[in-house]
This record gives sequence, structure tokens and C-alpha cells, in this order.
Amino acid sequence: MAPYIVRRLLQAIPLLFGASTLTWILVHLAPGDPIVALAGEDGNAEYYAMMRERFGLDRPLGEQLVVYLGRLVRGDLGFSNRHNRPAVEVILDQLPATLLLMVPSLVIAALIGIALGAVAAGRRHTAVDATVRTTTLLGHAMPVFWLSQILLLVFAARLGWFPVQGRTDARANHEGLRAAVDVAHHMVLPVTALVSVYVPPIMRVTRASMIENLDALYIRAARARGVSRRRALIGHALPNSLLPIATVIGAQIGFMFAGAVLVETVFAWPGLGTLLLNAMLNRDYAIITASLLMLATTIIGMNLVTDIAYSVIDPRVRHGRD
Amino acid sequence: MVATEGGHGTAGQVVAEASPGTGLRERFRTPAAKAGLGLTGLFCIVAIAADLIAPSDPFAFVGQAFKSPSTDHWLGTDDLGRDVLSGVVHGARTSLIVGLVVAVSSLIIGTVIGAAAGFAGGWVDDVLMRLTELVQVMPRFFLALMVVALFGPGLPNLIAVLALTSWELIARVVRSAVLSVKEADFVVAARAVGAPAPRLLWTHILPNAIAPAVALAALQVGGAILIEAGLSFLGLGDPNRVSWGYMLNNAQPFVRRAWWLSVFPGAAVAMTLLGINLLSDALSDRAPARPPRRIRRRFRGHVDGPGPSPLAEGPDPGLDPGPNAGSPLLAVEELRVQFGTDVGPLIAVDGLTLTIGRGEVLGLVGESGCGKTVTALAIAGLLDETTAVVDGRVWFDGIDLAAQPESAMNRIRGSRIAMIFQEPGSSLDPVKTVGHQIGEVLRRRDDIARGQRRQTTIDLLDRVGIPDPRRVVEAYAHQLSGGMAQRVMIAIALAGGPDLLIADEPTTALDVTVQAQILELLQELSETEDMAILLITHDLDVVSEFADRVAVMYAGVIVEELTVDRLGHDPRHPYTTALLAARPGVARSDERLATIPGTVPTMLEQPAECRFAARCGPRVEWELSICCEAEPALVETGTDHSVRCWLHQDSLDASDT
Repeated sequence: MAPYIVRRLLQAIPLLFGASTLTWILVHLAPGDPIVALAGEDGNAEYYAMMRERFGLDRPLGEQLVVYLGRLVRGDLGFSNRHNRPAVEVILDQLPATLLLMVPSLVIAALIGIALGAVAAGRRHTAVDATVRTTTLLGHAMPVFWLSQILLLVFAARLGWFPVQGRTDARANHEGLRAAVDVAHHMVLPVTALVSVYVPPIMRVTRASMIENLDALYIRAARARGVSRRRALIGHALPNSLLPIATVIGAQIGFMFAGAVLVETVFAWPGLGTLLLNAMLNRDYAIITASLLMLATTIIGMNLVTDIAYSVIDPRVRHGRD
Repeated sequence: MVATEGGHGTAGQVVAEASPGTGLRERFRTPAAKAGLGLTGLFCIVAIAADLIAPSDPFAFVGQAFKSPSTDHWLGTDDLGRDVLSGVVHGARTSLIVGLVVAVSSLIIGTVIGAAAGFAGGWVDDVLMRLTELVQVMPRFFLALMVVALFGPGLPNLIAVLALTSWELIARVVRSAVLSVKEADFVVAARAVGAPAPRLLWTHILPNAIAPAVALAALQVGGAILIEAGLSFLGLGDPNRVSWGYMLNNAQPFVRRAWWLSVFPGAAVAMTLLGINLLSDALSDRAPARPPRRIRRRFRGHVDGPGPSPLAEGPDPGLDPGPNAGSPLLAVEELRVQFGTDVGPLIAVDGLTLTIGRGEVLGLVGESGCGKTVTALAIAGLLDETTAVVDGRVWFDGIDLAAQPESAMNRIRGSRIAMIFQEPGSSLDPVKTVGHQIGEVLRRRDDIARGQRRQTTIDLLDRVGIPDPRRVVEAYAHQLSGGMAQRVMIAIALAGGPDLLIADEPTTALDVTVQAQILELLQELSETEDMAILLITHDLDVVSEFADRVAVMYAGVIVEELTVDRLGHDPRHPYTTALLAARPGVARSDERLATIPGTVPTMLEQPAECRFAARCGPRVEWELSICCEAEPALVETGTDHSVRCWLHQDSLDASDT
């Protein structure tokens, strides 16, 4: 088990190296001079040269890349000029707010998606199955930021059931439990929007995987020993389907972050999305490249976690590998 | 050697054989596929003819700001007085351009990289596959965001970054297709005669690999459109082009004031993506087989077999009339099973009748595809009713199983009728322990207290000859050998204390030495537990060693039923004798093994002639015409001996089929 994890960790290193190099190349290919961007356009040539030397920009490109990667290893993902702090710090400040939307959405979506997928698989090719599939296809087709706008339009602007934007009610100074309720109240619409885009891929892979497992011989054997259809579905087909479901959740993490960022901008939720958008408007490249790298690292990490989850869920992997 | 004859497999094969072109036209028959085609078609038309359809230039200020939808401006006007309808129409063009260019470029890049990796192999393959992995872990949306932010907003930048990050699945598919085609016989042969490598690539390998790649590329269209919309929504779209995301970005500050600004462009995105998703679903999903209409039971002039049981006209279903010592344990009457296929109902079992007495071992013998497994599943009520139509009666200890509700069948299965299967390894749930699966049966027994279950489980495993039962209780299927797994399956079967064990090719997948052990175990258990066994097999040697009686099955019917004793010295049906002659042990070493020419026919309709006529040696030799004109009935030709053959009818002219 442990050697297996070590091997997987070692395999992730070239990927991380590739992702960082790619980011560095992109930044260097981009038009515009970072010194000009930093010092303004009306400095004299001597000043520019001094700045270049100070930031190591007069060195050969290869050396610059090595220096860059060396900084990355030490956790230095660049410095945000606008925030006047390291980009990582700025991002980590905003991350909890984004996770506050993402994590509950993912948990709810996993429960709904697995339940719907199981029901659709158990009644495949019936009206129930068709309804579930059509609904999720529709959910899959809706851009999440548009759905957010519509939710906001109907439930906040028209009906007034939920606050329009933000994470807290700035006018009331709630404390303790009431503050939590206030945040929860603000979360309802953005979480609903996120759940509706997280559910379809989970539901689809659950259905497909359950159907495959329902046709397996061990289901026939279980039914032959008197296990009811429902118990065969929940007690046998579902546990066997958890692996592909875990995989899809792991593989979709980038897509889920993108969804969260878009939803945040609609609801003016102060999180990564708002940060990124401002970074974009202010040409604060360090924030953008750093968040890209952190996300790529997260995706690589999630792949690793799913692989390890395999070995926890599936006894074949648990005993089979190392 | 003997394939499993599951209903789905058989039905699927027929579909594949009968209509090789179950292609595009078939797939577009469902309403969902039609809707997908319609929506996608509409999207393309609007995008191409945008200039003709749009009432005005999407950037032109044509009216008052914030006019709600009216006859002048069907979808209203925006904050600057621009026509929303014109914007939506021109937005379609932007989306189509993005979707198409990204799909085509990812197809080209993916095909080139995949083909190069697969064909070159070695370090080229290594490097390219690492590159593919890298692309896979780069979050597309954020990479696109970064590129647009660094290089400036604009469609070309966006399309470039999307195309450069959308090819990895295509490359994987093409690579594996190339790898599999590379080793295919015809390519190896072409290489052997000296065809040069590049030509091989173009003429043989790519045409085979390209179909799945195109399907994957089509899937990229929707994703690209969605990302373009998302970026434009964030204000990073091409400022010189109207796009749906751009319009939604524009609508954001006015959501409360002008609903039409967000509703229409968003609906356009949703409808387009829905159409594309439905279409790709139709391309990837198989249309479900429709079950056939329920067929009316037809009574033939002759009821064969040992007659209906005394209770045939019977008790209320569900009422257990108590032990019926005089009647057989199991009496199957006129069992008929059809599978719905796209080319019509397929007859798998066609009026099968058989009985098994208490403690008796009946061997059901026949080639693969003759309907043995389907018969077993029908008796146990395990056929999927959405694809199979079952007719006829199955009397089990005075209960008509065919009339039992599902809940009653769940009680009967496992406790009174148990089954074991051909592939014991796959018959155990891979993620549950052996103990758990035995427990599922024990849990429903009132006579075993909760605390005793573990001990009972160990005793059961011990009884079926498992050496270390305490360890095996905690074991998973993958830790057991085939023979061990089959012993576990037998233990599960015994757990309920059944009266009947249906054993479907229980030894076929096992080693020869293990086969003998399992058969010995079954034989011993049938005596000690007073358990009747329906032994389904293709192996006459197994049957003659172990069964009391034999029923020979061919193309969905019993063609001969006799005692094992008579099988040895008086087999009558030409099929039975042919099967006996084809046993490996019969041929002398200098002789070729006798075989029966041809295969079991697949029946889409009831045959008018004898089912075996086409393969029957005596019929060919003696040129019997009746065999090709009418089907013989199963008639009793002696004590415990019935035959379905024109050579053994009492009077040849009294046929009344």
C-alpha cells in the first residue's frame, strides 16, 4: 500500500514540472513588458535596466526558468503588485469562501446524483429513467452563470425570498448562530445553481456504472439466493459502482472550480471568482498564474486521492497492489 | 468452450447478424435523438444565415433602451437600444465558429499525436503520452482565462487555447485504435508483403481509427461553446463580436430591471447545448430492444411429458397446499420464452416440459444456444421481464411459480430453490466477503439465531470441503480459486436448505481435477441433504456418471428424455446418438473426433419442420421427406423414455402438429 502511494506521488512530479513550465512559457510569450507594467511607461532606460537586473530578467531564459522553478519549489508563486502580498497568500485568503460554496454543493450533488442514477438504472428504459435523463441533460445544457442569473431574477429580485448578492447582510450585525443562518441564507441560491451543474455528470456515470453492474453475474447470483431487486441494487450494484463515481468527481474538479468562479461573479460572492475577475481587470498576472498552478496541482492531487480511494473502496485493489 | 447463453447475448447476436446496418438511421428513431437533430439543425441554420435572419445589425442602436419584447423588437432592446433578437442570432454564428473550429482542430491535433504515438512507439510514444497527461490535468477554463488575460481578449486566442487543450481524449483513442489495428491480421499481412509504413498508416490504420475520434471531436463542440460563453460572460470575449456570453455579461447589471436581457441569450445557449448533448447521446447509446407483444398460449394437439400434476388446475397462487408426496417436486409445463429483439421476438424456449422428483438428479443436456440456461432462469423467475416474455407453468411442490408475486419468489429463491452457475468467480460480489453473502441467506432463516450465524457459516464452508473455513469467511472473490469459489457458491446454496438445486454448467469453467471433486461433492450432498438437482451441462459423460435421468434439449425443446441406464444402451434420437459419438472419450486415438455439422438454429418463428432435420445424419442418408414438412411430437416409446423424432413415432401418418 505505502510503496504504491509513493510511486504515484513520484509520477505526479513530472506533471507538476510540466504544468509550471507551461505556465512560465505562456507568461513569457505574452506581449507586454513586465517592467513597463510595474514601473510605468515613462521611466528612463537606465532605470529599466536596473529593474531588469534586480528581477533577473537580464539573464538567459533557461536560467530564468530554473530560478522560477526554484521559487515554485519553495512555494513562491509570484508577487501580486496590486495586493502587495505574495499571490499564494491572497489566493489562500479567498479560497475558504469558494470552498464554502463548493463543498456543500458537491456533497448535496453527490447524494442527489447517486440517488437519481441508481433509480434510473433500476428502472432503465422506463418513464422514470427517461424523466431523470432528460432533466439532467437539461441541467447539463444550462450555463451555470445563466442559471444563477435566472435564480437571482426569480427568487431574489421578484419573490424576495433570498438576498440578491453577497455573503452576509452588511446592514445587520449578526453574531454567532444568527450570523451562520445569515450566511446560509445567502448560500441557498448559489449552492442551488452549483448543485444543478454538479449533478448531471455524477448521475450519468452512476447510471451507466450501475447498469453495467446490474448485468453482472454476481447480481444474478444474488437474486438467485433470494436477495430482492432493491437490495441487489443498493447492497450489491451500488457499492461496486462507487469507484467510477469517485473517479468522475475527481476528474471534474477543475470544471467544478470553474462553475464556482462563475457563480460567484453573479452573486457577488467574495471568493476566488471575484479575486480572479479583479486580477484580470488590473492585469495582476501573478494571481492568475498562481491560481492556475494551484488548480493544476489540486487536479493532480485529486487524481491521486481517487486512486487511493480505489484501494479503500475496492478489496481487489487493496489486496492486489503491493 | 461453451459460451454462456444469457438472453441478452443471444438477442444481441441476432440483432447484429440480422441487421448489420443497425447504424445511424436506427439511432435517430427515438424522440430524443430527433429533438437533438432538430435543435442542432436549427442552430446551424441560424448561425449560417444570421445576416438574413437578424432584423438589424447587432451593434446598431435601433431603438429606445430597455424596451421589453414587443412587435417592433421581438426580444426587446438592451441598455443601449440594440436589438436583442439580432444579438441572439449573431451570437449563434460566434458559437458555431468556436465549436466547429475547436472540434476540427482538436480532431487534427489529436489524430496526428495519437497516430504518431501509436505508430512510432518507443520514446516518441512515451513523450507524447506524458504530454497528453499534462493537457489532461490543466484546467481548461482557467488556462483559457489566463491566455485571454495575457494575450488579450479575442476569438483567435480563445479558439487556439481551446483547440490546444481539447485533443487529449482523441489522441488516446486514436493511439489505442492504431495499436490494436497495428496487430490485426490484415495489417501484419500487409507488412509482411512489404507495404511501406506510411502507406499502411493511411490506407489501413487511420480509416479504422477515425470513427471514434470523430465522435469524440463532436463532443468538443458543446464544451467549447460553453467555455466561450463563460469567458465572454466574465468580460473576456472578443469585443468585436456579439456572443451569447457577451450578452449575458451585458445583462448582469440589469438583471432586476430587464429580465429579457438574460433570459433569451441564456436560453439560446441552453437549447443549443441540449441539442448537441441529445445528438451525442443518440450517437453513443444503443436504442433499447422492445419486448415483443405477449403471445397467446397455443395448445397443441398433444400434451407431452408425464402429464399435468394433480394440482395442475390448481390452488390459489400463493397458497401452500402442503407437502404433496405423490406429485413431482418440479413440473415444468409448456414453458415458452421469447426475447424481444429489433428484428422481432426470438424464440429461446418453445414449449418445454419436464419433471423432477424429490431427491432426483435430472441432467439437462444440449449444445450452447439450445436454451438450457434460459430454461433454468425461467424456472427461478430470474429473466428480466422487460426483455423476456415467459409463458407456461412451473409447478414447484404444488405452487405455480409463474403466478407468484416477486416477494413470494424472493422467499422461495435461496430457501427452497438454489442455483449455482458456470463462472463461480464472477458469481460472487467482488466487494463483499464470503461471510456476508452467506449471511444474506442465513439472515432470513428463523431457526438460526443471530449469534449462531457465524458458526453456521463456518460449518457450511466446512461441509463443502473448504480447508480453512474461518479464514475464508472473511475472504473476497478475487482471493479464491475457481474451485474454491464454486464450493463457496454451493455453501451459499446449502445455507437455505433447498429442496431443489439448479446447477448451470457448474464445472465447465473449472480444471479437470477440480471438476471431478465438485461433481462428487454435489452427488454426496444430493444424497445427504435429500436435495433434487437440475444439472445443466453439455457434457454427457458428467450426466451419465451422476444423473438419474437425462433430458436432451435441442433448439428450445426436449428431443429425448430417458433414464441414464437407457442412455447407455438405447439412445434413440439422432441428436442424442450424435452427441454421444462426439464425446472426446469415444473416438479412438487414430480417429478424428466426430462432430455434428452446423449449429443450433436461431428461431425467429416456430419451424414447420423437425428442428434437427438440417443436421440430421439419418434424414440425409434415407432422404426422409416428412422431416422437412412437419415437426414430430415428443412421444413415449417405452418406460421412462420419450423421443421427438419421426423415426420413432408410433405411426408416421398420424401426425397432427
